[in-house]
Amino acid sequence: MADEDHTFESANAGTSTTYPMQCSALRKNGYVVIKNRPCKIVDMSTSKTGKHGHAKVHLVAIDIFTGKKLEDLCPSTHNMDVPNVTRNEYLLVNIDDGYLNLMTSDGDTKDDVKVPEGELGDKLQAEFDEGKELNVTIISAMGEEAAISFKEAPQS
Amino acid sequence: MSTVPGLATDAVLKKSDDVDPNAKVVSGLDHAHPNPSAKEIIDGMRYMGFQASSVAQACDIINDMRSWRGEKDGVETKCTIFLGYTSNLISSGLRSTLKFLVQHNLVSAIVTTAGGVEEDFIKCLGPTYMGDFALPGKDLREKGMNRIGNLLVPNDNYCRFEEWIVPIFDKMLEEQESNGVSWTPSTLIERLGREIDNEDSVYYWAAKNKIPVFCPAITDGSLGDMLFFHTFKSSPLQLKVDIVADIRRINSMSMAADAAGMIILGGGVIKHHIANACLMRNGADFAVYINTGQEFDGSDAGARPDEAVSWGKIKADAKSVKVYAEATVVFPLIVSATFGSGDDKSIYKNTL
Repeated sequence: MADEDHTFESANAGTSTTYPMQCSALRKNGYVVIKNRPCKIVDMSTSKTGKHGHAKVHLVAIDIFTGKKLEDLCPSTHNMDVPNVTRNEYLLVNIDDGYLNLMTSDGDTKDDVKVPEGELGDKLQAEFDEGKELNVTIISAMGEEAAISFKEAPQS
Repeated sequence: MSTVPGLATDAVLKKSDDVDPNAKVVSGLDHAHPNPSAKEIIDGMRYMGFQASSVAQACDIINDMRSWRGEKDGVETKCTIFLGYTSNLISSGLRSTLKFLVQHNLVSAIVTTAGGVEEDFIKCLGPTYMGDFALPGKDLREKGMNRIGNLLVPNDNYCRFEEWIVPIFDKMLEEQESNGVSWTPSTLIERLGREIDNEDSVYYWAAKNKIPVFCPAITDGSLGDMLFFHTFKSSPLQLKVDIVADIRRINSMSMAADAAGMIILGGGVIKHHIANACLMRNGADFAVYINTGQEFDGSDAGARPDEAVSWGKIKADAKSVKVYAEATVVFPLIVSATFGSGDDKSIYKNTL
């Protein structure tokens, strides 16, 4: 009865793309996985143990890739998954059929990240067309990658 | 010696009219007879006056509900009895008395509020303790104790309740999504009654005896907190609880009843919900109210049965009484002298 069928929604692939953390240890501006999406926490509040049961942490977070707002409410003693989020900077070599052709400082190439949608993408395309040398920051988490910002490469 | 002035004698010593030959003489309990039974105590209270007489009248009306027999299509019918009580009464030890009524099929339907549902289950998971009305709230909050009058419930009990109920909600959601089950407050309570599987529980017996438990305000308590939290867990799916199906169910019970009786302990939603259901049949035939509410504020909670007569919720020729008393004081005695007296009307199968 009580001790079966506990399904914790945060259970995901179990790879090193995420690691568990006790809900009460999460902090604002940190990362968390909600509904299997890597998110940045923008607001959190805690309700103490009471008539509603265990102490709860209410999380408001933004999907780091889609920008969509997600909410979760988790007992403070439960573990939640935190995504391993990495940022890398690449030199933009070309834009080809909606994809960025990127190069690392070691000269390795990377051609699987799309041109970002919206204003960021338009600006990137425009400045690239002007012939500027651009460095693009790629964020990656849970097997997903996206360009989140760019700046003009320092002249060498 | 002068005589008393005529004006004064006329005023003070006004001659009585003849007393109604049917008038009852005020009398009391004869304590020469030791260890009176509940029935004997009630008999001793009948002409005691004040609320003692109302308590005895409540017993008489309840016995009328129990012995009422009608006939429909050649089949003997009985009075449908609606029992209503507030949450605090399940928190109190009166729960045992309420459980007795349900365990032995002595009532047809129950109306209560969310606390009246969850506190019954919570008591199966952890006890409620005696406290004191005067315990300061600040200290209790620091100790994680919640006060209900002079009773205390530890926070820990609500944590156990959460651990118990969340997996049940998960299963109910799955049944809703994959089998198209549409939950109502009464079917949800029946499900919880089966899940708790504990003979101390009122709702274990209600489920077993198919006595519907109505709770239109199901979300106004810890159950509502749990349902709220569950929406986050289940999102984008959501457990749905249909109150319209339940209003149809209780009103249909009332309309199908050959006779209807109400026994209502306390006020608020539980009192009006039963009265409102009885409106659908042009009024209840019997009504016993037990509460401490006053009528001067116009709220239904304190209204006497006569106000319900004006709305058609109680029949004009119905037998009714309001006992001005706190239910835990009088209801065990009333049940002992009626349903629990061991007379031949005790075991009673509800008709619907």
